[in-house]
Amino acid sequence: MKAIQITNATLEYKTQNGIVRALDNVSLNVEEGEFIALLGHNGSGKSTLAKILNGLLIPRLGDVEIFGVNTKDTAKIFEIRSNIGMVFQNPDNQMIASIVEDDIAFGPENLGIPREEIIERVNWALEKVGMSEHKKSTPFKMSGGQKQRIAIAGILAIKPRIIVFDESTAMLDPQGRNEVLKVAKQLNKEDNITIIWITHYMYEAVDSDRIAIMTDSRIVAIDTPKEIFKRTDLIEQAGLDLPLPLAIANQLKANGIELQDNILTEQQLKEELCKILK
Amino acid sequence: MRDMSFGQYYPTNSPIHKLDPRAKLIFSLLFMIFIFFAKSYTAFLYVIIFLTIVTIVAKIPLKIVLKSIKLVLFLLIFTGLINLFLYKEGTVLAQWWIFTITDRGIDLTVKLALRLSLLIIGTSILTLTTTPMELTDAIESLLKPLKYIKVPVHDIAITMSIALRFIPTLLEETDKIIAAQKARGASFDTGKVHERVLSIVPILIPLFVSSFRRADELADALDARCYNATKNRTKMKKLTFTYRDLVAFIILSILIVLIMLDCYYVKAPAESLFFGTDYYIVNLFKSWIG
Amino acid sequence: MQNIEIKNLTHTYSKKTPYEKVAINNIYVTINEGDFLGIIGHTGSGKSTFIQHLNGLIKPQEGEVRIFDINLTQKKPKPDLRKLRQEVGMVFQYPEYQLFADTVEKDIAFGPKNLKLSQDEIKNRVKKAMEAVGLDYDKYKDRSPFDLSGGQKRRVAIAGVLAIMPKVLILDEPTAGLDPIGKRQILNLIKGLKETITPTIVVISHDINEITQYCTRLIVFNKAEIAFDLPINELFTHQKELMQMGLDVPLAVKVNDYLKENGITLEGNIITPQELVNAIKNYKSLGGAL
Repeated sequence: MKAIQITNATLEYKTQNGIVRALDNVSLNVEEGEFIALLGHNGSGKSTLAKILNGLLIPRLGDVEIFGVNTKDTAKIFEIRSNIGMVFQNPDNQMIASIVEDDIAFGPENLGIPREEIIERVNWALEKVGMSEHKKSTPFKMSGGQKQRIAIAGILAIKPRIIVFDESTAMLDPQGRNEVLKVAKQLNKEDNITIIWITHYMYEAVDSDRIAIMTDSRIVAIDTPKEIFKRTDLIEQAGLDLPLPLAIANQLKANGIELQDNILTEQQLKEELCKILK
Repeated sequence: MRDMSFGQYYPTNSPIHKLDPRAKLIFSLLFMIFIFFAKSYTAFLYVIIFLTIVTIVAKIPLKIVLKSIKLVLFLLIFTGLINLFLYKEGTVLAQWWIFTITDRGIDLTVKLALRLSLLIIGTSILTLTTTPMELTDAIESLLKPLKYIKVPVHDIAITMSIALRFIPTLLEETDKIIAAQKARGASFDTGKVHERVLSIVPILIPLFVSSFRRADELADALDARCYNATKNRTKMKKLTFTYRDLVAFIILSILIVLIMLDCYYVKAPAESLFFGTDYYIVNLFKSWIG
Repeated sequence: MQNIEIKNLTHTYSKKTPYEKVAINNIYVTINEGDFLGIIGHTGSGKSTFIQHLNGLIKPQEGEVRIFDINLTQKKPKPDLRKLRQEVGMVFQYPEYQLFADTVEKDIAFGPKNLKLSQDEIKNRVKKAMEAVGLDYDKYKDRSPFDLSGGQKRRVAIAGVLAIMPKVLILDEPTAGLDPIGKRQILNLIKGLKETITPTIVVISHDINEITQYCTRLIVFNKAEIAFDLPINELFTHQKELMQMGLDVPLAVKVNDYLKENGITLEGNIITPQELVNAIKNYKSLGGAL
């Protein structure tokens, strides 16, 4: 069974300037345990795609199935939502309580989980994101990275099998970004949680299993990072950047210096340069 | 800026802080009701002794408790003066134009001021020892029976909790907006009245826009966390009454009994200026001196 | 010419409370006309507190702050903040959250209007500011700023500050939260401003690869103090110290360093990707050192 199966989803928004198509015949299949990065410029439809995954929006045409359950099946919407968690951009706007542990308990409380199990889940979730010692604190004075990790814990407590990160690092400083990305990767590896990682930062996508590129409300490409970043013109058209190591490598190649193709990370660039210059 | 989600909470981890918030809320209500039965100075003395003990046990500096009166000082003085000058019964001590000062007027004014101050001190001890979150939980728990007549108790509690949670965020945001408009040369404290009123617009509009944006995102976040998934919502934090609450209740009951005895059982002659126990104490003093 | 001179500046938040925190400690900075200054450091290292002094949003507690001929430390007569904010323009983080007017033109005109300029001059400045941020005046002036895209909103907000025609422009995280296209546009815009509008620019950024593309001098804040204040080509000789502070260094610097450790010495100062590429090209064409 596929973790996520989107078939031919189409959805429009009404705005002041008329009807705008937010998703145009989008299809996507994701296996359980995959780490998928979703890239695209603002307004390309990424956030809409995120919102059809847990039934916050229902596509006008086409279907979305989460572990075989269709989001159109309103009776099963909470089964879907407890299977697919969502972490949003602004950590301040997804916390409902003033005390960390109360906030994390919110999800399982909504699901009617017995009290003892909620306490277990809260402790487990805090440990997973490395925030155990802040259990009784108030998030107000914390750094963005810490707040976002608490938001992740709040999602983990509903024990989802998929987590969507909708530009969850966009408002953080580099340190916070790395903290959050590290937690997401760990959850993917250790707990086999399927991750959909929506971002603007190319380097966050380089070691995902697959990258999907969105432009003009469509998924225009989906492939491994190595293959995706080979298609420089596609990246350009989508209004995106190449990861900096690759951009440097490409520039070197343009200057007649021969390098291998798949340089995506800092380490790869260093080693390759060392090899060819020695 | 102070974190408003803790209100004026003063953390000391005392036995008073550890009382069940529901108990504290009920005790405070009882206190508020029964302070109106305190009619003699002796009864007020009981209340003062009681509140002093509570303050000491709660390990809150006296200064902080007394600060709460400051906020209502104006109200206190205003009502006090009205009473003092306009109450006409009793022996006249001084008179000028429409103002009269009588002995009973003074008595009434002092008692009113005492009652109001003690009332405020009593309730501020509640908020000093209980976080707004605990109070929200207490209210939700106490209102639970209303669920059966379809009052959305839980939604009310969540709304209160979210409001508390967002107050500091919005205050911070307001600060930022003010700073940004100031940087563009806006001034909020000069100019004519209508200019000053208009100068709020560049603050209010961005604040509204951002509040709506936050509300939108919050709504999605609530849904993503399965809000309304089941009617049988559970709670992680269970409120439990303990022996501590019982001890507190007994102590409060002693105060209430003393006040009620003074009010109804110890009777002074109707024509006397003094009420209840005060009459006998004054007589005792008189006989000592005489 | 010295535009800004700061001596011995210290600022403490919530003084004499349990929440007391020293935000900046004993800081000396001079900013000269023509500087293209970058400020880096962790969140909470004191950067924001520092720049808010430059605009008179925070009053200096200890030390001296002189901006052009305005002495912010002097008590009497009070420093002229209005004039100060005309000299030093400040673009805050996420400046688009401070937009409030119903048209782009009105919003940008807010600053010049507060300066009580003539109608003609205001219109002139709005045009010039919009041109500087790359928004066509006739096409956008009557649009609602709230209907624009994220990157466009930000450009309108920046234009709102440029319309004041400050001599020093401060930008706090000008590209935060934007997508790659928006980022590129803002970066190009900043590079152009120095020639067209403001001679002196100060940028706060977390992105070292970005800030090194245009700044000529960098100040590094660490734990409320200035750890380094150096021209950009000297700063990265302190790579180890920067790493210890948990700060990133440009990719080109890291690569160059790695090559050096492995016995490959490239010629010249290497900070930007372009410099790295050129140096490698030269190295290759010389056939290597050996």
